[in-house]
Amino acid sequence: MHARTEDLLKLRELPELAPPRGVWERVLEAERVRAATRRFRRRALATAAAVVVAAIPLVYVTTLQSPRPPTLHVGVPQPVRMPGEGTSYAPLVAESARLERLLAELPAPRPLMVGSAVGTVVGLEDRIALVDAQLSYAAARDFAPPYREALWGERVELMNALLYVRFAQTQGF
Amino acid sequence: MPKPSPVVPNETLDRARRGERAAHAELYALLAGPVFTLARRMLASSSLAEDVLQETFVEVLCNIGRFRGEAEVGTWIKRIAINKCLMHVRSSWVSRRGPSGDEPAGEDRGALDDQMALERALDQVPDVARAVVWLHDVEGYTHTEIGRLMGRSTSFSKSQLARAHERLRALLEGPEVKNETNLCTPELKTC
Repeated sequence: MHARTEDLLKLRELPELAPPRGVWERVLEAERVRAATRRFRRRALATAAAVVVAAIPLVYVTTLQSPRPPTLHVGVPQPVRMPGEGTSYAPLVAESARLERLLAELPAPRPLMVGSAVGTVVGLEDRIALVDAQLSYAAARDFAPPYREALWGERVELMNALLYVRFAQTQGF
Repeated sequence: MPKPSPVVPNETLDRARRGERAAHAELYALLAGPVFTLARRMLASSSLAEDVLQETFVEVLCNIGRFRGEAEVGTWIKRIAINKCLMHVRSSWVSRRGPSGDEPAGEDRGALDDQMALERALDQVPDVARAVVWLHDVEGYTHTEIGRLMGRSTSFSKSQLARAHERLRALLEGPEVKNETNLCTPELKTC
């Protein structure tokens, strides 16, 4: 064996490198922005939830007071319609449902998870909940399809990310 | 024997968990060097290693309050950094770039001592094999653990380590250092 091959064993002896200057300041700034974003999302979620909760009795009362249109009962069963079916964002709705199913099929997370993984999962779930609240509100107010399409697109992206993280957890990351 | 992480005093860790900025800075001062070194060695690029250092500590600050101490804090922080490095290794951009993000390769360096030769050789090992050799030989991970971290099998880790050692041997023994990192061909399973 060539003498220098022994150098292979000296990888551990390579010197420690000094971290570049200014990184700590950038860490603090990035952490501050991240915390502010999280606070904003929580507030937005709480506001959206409050709006939805406040709107429920109103919608209920309005429905009770409206004269009901006469209904025609025929023997043909009505097909079950997915939200958004027949619209431009129907594929996104279907994809979101598919990802939900895949997520449900994953094994339950381990009781002890790495802190970073917990943070990531909680962050993603928060964001999905916020999008869901916005979707409910958009449906109640019959917002334009492009707006709902954007929301469904965001939901699919977040579900993909959550699925990736949860899958990584099952692999022991 | 795994390379030991610097010992973080319990008192510093407790203060860091409570959100004390000074304790966070102490944690950074203790572990920024090892994390940057780990990332630089695994990725062979100072700029990517700097990104990993920053992303790692942002994650640490966001989650230190929830750290339950099931492992040494240094090990936990390095694990975050390793996951971030592996994300870079898996990305197509890293596998397409040259052997080193910032160091001139080959004859430009002139006469080299053993350590510099080893550093340069390590930079020229293909990305995945380099990550495996560092995790195994320096950080003390087992093949099973490395396989799991990379979403691959134990034998994948073993073969990558053998490939890395072989490449390092060739680079250290041979008079000419050729850049073959760009010859990564998935069909031949060289990467």
